[in-house]
Amino acid sequence: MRSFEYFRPTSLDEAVTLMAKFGPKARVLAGGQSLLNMMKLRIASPEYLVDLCELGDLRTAQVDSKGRLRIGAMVTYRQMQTSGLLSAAYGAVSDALEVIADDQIRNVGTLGGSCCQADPHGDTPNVVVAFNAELEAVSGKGRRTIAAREFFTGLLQTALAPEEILANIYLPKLPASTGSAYEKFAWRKGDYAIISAAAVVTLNGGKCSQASLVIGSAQSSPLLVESAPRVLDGKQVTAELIQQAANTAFDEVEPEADAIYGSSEYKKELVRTLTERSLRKAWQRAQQGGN
Amino acid sequence: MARISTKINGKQYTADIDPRTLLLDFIRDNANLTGSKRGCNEGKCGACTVILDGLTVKACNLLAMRAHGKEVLTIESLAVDGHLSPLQECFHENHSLQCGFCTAGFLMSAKYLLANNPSPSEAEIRDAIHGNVCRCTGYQKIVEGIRAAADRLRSQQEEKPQSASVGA
Repeated sequence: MRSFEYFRPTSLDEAVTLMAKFGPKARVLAGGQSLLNMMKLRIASPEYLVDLCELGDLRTAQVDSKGRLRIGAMVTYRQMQTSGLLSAAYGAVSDALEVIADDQIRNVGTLGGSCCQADPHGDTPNVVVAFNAELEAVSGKGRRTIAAREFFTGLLQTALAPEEILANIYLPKLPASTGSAYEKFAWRKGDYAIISAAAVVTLNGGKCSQASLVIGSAQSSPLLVESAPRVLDGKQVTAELIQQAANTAFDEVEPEADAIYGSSEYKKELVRTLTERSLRKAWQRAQQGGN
Repeated sequence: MARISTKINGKQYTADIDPRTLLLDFIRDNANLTGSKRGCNEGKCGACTVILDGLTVKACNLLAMRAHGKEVLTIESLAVDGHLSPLQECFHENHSLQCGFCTAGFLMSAKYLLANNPSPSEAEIRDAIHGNVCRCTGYQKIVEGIRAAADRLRSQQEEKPQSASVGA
């Protein structure tokens, strides 16, 4: 790891001032479970490291006045798992937290850090995109909100400017009878996904009034699948219809092949299987009432 | 340089360190506690697992500065006055180690599990140690050691209130 100057601001204003001053030469440190490894490999060599660990507000989560679930960027996976804030409709988030790495990493890793890392094999970005969460960035110029579907711009790339700090992630208030699920395939539990799927389904009298599907690890950022939700849209949901949607996802998604985990054809089959599983689970959860 | 002040196994350590220093290096080089091992140095193998303010962390993947103002427990905190803790005894009796390199990490993960879940199922035990890698045992003996420790700790807990009620 190359040397750096270490800062430990005690207010968000102070952190923003530091980032404005150092710009692209600085990196924000959240849980550090990815960034420190990148620094050891010298893939990242920031001259200035701005550690947000003292920013208490970023460590809190609560339902806000609009019914959205605000999650501070420094809230750890473990905090989310034990907070009691993740209602049944956010099942996809709970599913993802179960399969991220291991206890030691969940005790440190943060939702904000994972989003900013934008690793194509990460788990939480897929879920954040499936819900189309809003990500709130802060800089010297003020605050702005970025839709999750515009946040992930490529391999390890986000819509954040170098001096911007991700402060909060807002999961939208979900309609009644919404269910969601996250399914992942990896060789070992807690490994990076080879393919993953995040699904959200809202029912209205048994018919699907809204659905979304995101496939992870297939390309350089979470892939919002358009065809499969259209299969469900406005229809009475059945197991057969979900299978049909999964076949449509299989046709639409073209995963990138890689030398270690397999060919595109192999991953396409995973897309079909995981789409089917995640939609079915989301549908079952929606029937149970969701919220 | 950055000023760190942290408590390790009840003892306060204060030093000026290069901010690059990993918690594992601080524990091993500054506190001279070499029980925590460096396996992969990238947060995968868990040999460096310690407990930071009640939560297990991989000390090779955390800046030492993250322990500033906090309390660290390492493997050296388990035995008291040269006597193995019940968890260590159970690892010993159940042959839960072979070469021993990963053992400190497994013991800290097991301690964390049993502190939060005194009666874990086998699946819960396996889940709790999946951030730790052992290349010798095949894990079965480690699972058995943790299960035995859970039983022993529970029976010790049950004895205590009984004797208290007798005394009262």
